[in-house]
Amino acid sequence: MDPHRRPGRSAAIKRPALPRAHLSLAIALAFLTFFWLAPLVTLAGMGGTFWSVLADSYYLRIAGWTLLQALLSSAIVGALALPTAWMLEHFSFKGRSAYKIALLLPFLTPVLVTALGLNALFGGHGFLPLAVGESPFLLLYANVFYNIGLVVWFVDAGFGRIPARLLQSAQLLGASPWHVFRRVEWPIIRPSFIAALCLTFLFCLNSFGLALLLAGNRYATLEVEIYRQTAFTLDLPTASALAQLQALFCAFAALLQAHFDRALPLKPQGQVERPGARHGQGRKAAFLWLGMLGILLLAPLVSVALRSFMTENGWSLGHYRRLAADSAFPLALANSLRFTLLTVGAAGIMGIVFAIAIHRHPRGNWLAFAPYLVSPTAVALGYLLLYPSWLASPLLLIGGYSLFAYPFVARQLTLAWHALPRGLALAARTLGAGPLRTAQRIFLPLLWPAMRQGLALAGASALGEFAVTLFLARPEWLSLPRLVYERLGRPGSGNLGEAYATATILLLLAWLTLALIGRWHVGAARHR
Amino acid sequence: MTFKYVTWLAVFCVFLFGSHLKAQELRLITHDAFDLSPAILDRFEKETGAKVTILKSGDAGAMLNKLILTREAPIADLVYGLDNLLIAKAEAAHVLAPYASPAAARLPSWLHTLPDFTPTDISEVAINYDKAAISKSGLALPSRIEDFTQPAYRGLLVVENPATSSTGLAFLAATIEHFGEPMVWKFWAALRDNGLAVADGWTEAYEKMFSRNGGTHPFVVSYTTSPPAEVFYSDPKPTEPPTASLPLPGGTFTQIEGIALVAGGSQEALAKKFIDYMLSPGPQADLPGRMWVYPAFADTPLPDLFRFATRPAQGSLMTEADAGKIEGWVKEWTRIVVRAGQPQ
Repeated sequence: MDPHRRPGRSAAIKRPALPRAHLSLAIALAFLTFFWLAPLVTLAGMGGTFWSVLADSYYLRIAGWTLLQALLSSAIVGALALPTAWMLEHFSFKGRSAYKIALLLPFLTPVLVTALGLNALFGGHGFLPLAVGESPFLLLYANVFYNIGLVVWFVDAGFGRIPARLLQSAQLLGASPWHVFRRVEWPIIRPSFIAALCLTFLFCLNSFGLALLLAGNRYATLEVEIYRQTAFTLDLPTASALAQLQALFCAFAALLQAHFDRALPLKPQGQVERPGARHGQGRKAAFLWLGMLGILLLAPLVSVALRSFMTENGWSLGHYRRLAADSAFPLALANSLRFTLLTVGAAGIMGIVFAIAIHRHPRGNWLAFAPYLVSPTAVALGYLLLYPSWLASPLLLIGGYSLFAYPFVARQLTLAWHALPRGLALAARTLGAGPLRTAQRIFLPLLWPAMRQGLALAGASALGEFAVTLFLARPEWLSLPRLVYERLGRPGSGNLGEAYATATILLLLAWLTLALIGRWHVGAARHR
Repeated sequence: MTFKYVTWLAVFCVFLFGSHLKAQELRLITHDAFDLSPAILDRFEKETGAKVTILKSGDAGAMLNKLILTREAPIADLVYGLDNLLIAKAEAAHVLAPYASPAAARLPSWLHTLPDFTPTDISEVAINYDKAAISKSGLALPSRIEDFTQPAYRGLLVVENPATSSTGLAFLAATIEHFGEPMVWKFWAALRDNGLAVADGWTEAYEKMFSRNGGTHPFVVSYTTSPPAEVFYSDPKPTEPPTASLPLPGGTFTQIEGIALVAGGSQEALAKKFIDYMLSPGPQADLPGRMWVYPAFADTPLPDLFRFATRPAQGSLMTEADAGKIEGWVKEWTRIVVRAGQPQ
């Protein structure tokens, strides 16, 4: 097995370990075409055009509000996230990395849990009844809740690219923290900050479950209107026209995001200890800020859990007992676990395929987040129209789930792969390892942590998936989010209590998935 | 070794797809208000050896849309809860299969059936009011439906959206029957300008917005059988219902509810047996006390509480040609009431 005795291997060495890159690109594109592009094209061909809905003042108002709420939410998120990221950079404390990881938890909280939590907190019979009647407050709060961690992470990555010598020079010259921020930090973090805000804007445009449950009639968004036109009115041309309009908005936000998401040619530096990080002024104020933010993010989740134990006879397990006695609950639980397992498997495979394709064809980078460019309701509606005879097949459901889950795996893998020293694989090949052995000994062990993180994120998102579920819902596919939604639709405090109990279980499952599959080490906070 | 893996794989597959391995099953899709005594369903299951699965799918309108969207791979074998207005849309979309139940031959002639639809029960949509709230306010009860456009009744009425609720659609049909087009749209515009409240469905209107249940509106579009239901669900039971229905001309509509085969459904023989069964004395006598409807056969004994209700007038079935007309009504209603358009 001595490689020196084998002539003719040099050609193989030039393309280490990736003989099937074109195949993977083909599979990736086929998957996207089947589960993403074709349904959207079908939907666009339903007859309605977005010009026709723009001529209608009612839809124009909804479209305007959809844009406005996304803009408002992004502005609030930006105003909260920038100081937070600055404080996390400038003050070091025990548990800083853990705090950063915790900031991402809201992003992975099932939509229904958040919506219930906000109602439990601020709704008519809530702990702090601030949003009684029709008000856009809950929707904006939810948008901030979901996106703030994301923006903090993006900005944090920007901070991590500031060369240490720049900071040292600035200090030497006696610049105040404000000057350092204005002249050194801001120019470097600005692209990341704006890119993150564009992403937030995109997510706020596309959030279906939150708007459906929190916005009410007056503050409903385009996503909700598309659902109504489908489920109640069955006016598919109008639904299609609205979806086109929505896609136009999203494409605009995505282009803007891509424009700003070009990292400056600066290498990540790792955490640089700032002067005064441990004893400087303003530490107390910073802790107060970070603590308040934590409470703001935790409060809705704690409310759900508290409410699930509150019955008419005081604190008890009554809601859980009734839930356990209901035959719908075991079905929903089994289905949720089943779908999540299948999705994690499918998303894992598709994530690897996309990562290989992107590695070989770096211009296809957008493939990793293509599904987020359009609304899930539009995709699900496309399934209804294009694959009617497949509607009974779990394949379509799992395909839909995987479509929105694989980007997590693909992105984590791509980033980790990018960070691998190039020489390792080449060295292995020079020493005589075949492609399989190289994959087994080099890629697998080095990329495994990223893979696990991606799978954990995919699993958590599949557990909370709601839009595809609602459109493709079949009674035998009852899942936990769907069960929560059904209980909410029925009158009486008992049903509401069961909804809270189910939501609490769903939240615990999502976090359990993150903890079990993902290997979260504190250093992870920096490499994004 | 290989055997072990195969075993685990098999166990895993059964876990993932196990729900598809069930025995003979009859799937009945229906609306959320569906309710039959367990004993009635048990008897059918015992007689036939089949399992009846009830699929509750929201309001009757949403249920029908779901049937239409999934007609290539039907999710049920039978549909219960279509009514004389929705049947036109169902016929136009070809989601039903014909069946002439021998049991239906005895039905009165005004309940005369379409080939795809077997009537099982009737009910009457009407405005209900909260007795306590009205006597407290000192208001006189309206004598004409037009009174709700008067300033004295401003903001007191809540109706269901006909686009999303079959109750709302029935009430809209009643006003159209009474006023005729285009007069009826002037009436609705006046109602809208007088603070009309619109709910997505009956549950939201009756259980949340009706003053009797914590809302602010003492008048709500519901059924003539709602007052006896109020007595039934109260604890302790009052001697008189706390609500009453108002039989205003132009404000009542007779809903004929029925059951039908789903086109392309499996278990056709079993499904036909179920349709016959629904018209037999047992289930007919069970319907009133469960769903607060009048049984299709007038000689069926009624629960005592029905003395607080009034028997519906005769209604008519809309035919296939009317599907487009009904859709046009709902569009126009939405334009005027929801989007504040002007009547033409």
